[in-house]
Amino acid sequence: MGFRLKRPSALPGFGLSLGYTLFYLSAIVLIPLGALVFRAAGLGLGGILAIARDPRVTAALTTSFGLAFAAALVASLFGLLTAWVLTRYRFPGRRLLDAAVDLPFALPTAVAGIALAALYAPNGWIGSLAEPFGIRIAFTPLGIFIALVFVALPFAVRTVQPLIGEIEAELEEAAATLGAGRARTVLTVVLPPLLPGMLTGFVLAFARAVGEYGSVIFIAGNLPFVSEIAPLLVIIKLEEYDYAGATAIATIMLLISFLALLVINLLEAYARRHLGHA
Amino acid sequence: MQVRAIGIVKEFGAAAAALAGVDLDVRSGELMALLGPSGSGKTTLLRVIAGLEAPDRGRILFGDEDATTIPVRKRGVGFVFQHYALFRHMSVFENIAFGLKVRGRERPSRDEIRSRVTRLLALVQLEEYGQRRPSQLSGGQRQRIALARALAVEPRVLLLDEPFGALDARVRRDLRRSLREIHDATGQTTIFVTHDQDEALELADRVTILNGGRIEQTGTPDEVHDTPSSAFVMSFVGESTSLPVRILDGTVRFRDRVLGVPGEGGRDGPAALYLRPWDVAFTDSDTALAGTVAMVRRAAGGRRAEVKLDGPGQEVVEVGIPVGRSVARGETVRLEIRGGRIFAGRP
Repeated sequence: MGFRLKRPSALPGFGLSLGYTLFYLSAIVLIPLGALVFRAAGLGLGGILAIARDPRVTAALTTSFGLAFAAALVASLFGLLTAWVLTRYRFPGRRLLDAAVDLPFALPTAVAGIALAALYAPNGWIGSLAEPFGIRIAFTPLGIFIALVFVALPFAVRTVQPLIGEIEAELEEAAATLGAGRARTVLTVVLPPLLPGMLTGFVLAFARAVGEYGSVIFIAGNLPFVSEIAPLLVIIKLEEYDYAGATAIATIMLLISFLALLVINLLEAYARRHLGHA
Repeated sequence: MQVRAIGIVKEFGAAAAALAGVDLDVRSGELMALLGPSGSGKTTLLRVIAGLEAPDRGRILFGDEDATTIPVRKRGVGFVFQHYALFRHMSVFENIAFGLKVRGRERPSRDEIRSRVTRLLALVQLEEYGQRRPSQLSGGQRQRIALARALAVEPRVLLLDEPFGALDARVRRDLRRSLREIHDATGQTTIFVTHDQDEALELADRVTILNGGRIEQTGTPDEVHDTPSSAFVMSFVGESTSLPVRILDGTVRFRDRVLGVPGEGGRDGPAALYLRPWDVAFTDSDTALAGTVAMVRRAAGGRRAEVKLDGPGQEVVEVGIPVGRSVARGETVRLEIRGGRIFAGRP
């Protein structure tokens, strides 16, 4: 008989569903990404490395990835808190707050960017409060960070929320009968099983924050070497008709993102094995 | 440690059955079963003793100390849950050590914790399993670990909520025997909740039977089985069937036939006669009650015949079949009632 792609299965439609999956994945994800890498490859490895070593590009990549990492971290912690409050307590307006968590998904990112810039500008409602302390938020990396937390938050909330709902009350009761206080119970009994979910949320938040463009450019100020993000640099290259340069930066971003996600996913698999619901 | 509950009242709380004034006295070193149907309040009572629920009225005493307002974590109880409630992200060893590690200033040394946990693993016969995860254990093994974890804190009283409820019959039997052995070895005052009368009668020193948030009877397994204090206990503990009878001048009459059962000073009027299978016997006497065998079945202790009595009521009586006697379905038989217990009211 030899190799057979199709094995008998209780679930019908393997050929059809795999075919559609491959078709759409190719048309929407694989071919565009392939074209990107192909275009960048025209520069040769040396050409790509030369662009990567351009100080302005290095600065933009550092800004993008560093701030995305920080924003994903903060969003994960703040998201955990938000999910906890929404799941564990009953209070008036809970459902409204729950729905509001998804707004960053739905809002056009440019609208979010303009709103944030207006609020955090030195003469804005919040920016004017920080100004006397010598803290400038808008048009600095701090502003970028706030915009990234804004867009990343829903991912962090929605990945841990169902897990918090699943925690059995008996586990906390068992810890209490064994003499553990509330703080210790939360830290040693409740939180560890949530870690895999938090990592998933972190991955999604990080991926989203790295690629974010619309909400950032309005609040960033876009000063080269200070508050310029890599996606903006890609746009600038495109406007200069430097297509090769643009694809090279994009390819570098793709590569770094891929490596980062790979590492985090491995961590997550490890955590799931050791902490999760085996 | 003697444990007493005095006048415990608990109105309907979050998903818990109510308690309507319950008094319980568990002697030091005793193994007490709380037995009752679902909704009888047995689990609520256990949780009130543990401090997991606060009673609306009444007091809990541990020895002479009033424990009513002591929070769970300081009350010194070991609690075993029906579904184990083990910490999945910790090894078996860490699970058992948990209660010792959280002790703050009185926390034992590492070596002491290690030797304590090792001893407990030996006690529940799982020495080799310290480094496993709970997910790698069977249900019976998990419940043993939960038991060891509860014992690790040297509780003043050990409380078990339907500890065998999620296990299959064979594992259940093994674990029952283990619990009895551990109890005998440690002398730990223990209260466990069950809806399974066999479990309660086999395992416990004394059994408390609850119904509708009240205690029906407390006594040794023999007492509650042989001298039940109410029709509910009679029918809930052990096998029984009942006949509507009438008491007249100290005699018990069934359809105007005087039965050989003393009326026990019952007031004249309608009553219920409860019969264990061995209270009824087959006889050859032509004048005895006649009936037709409706079904023959094998119960744990022997064979039973369900006999439908001839006559207007078509009452069904369950009869223990002696070894060697063959009974067939549809056969006409004569029955003699030799014993039974009278309770007021209709069955």
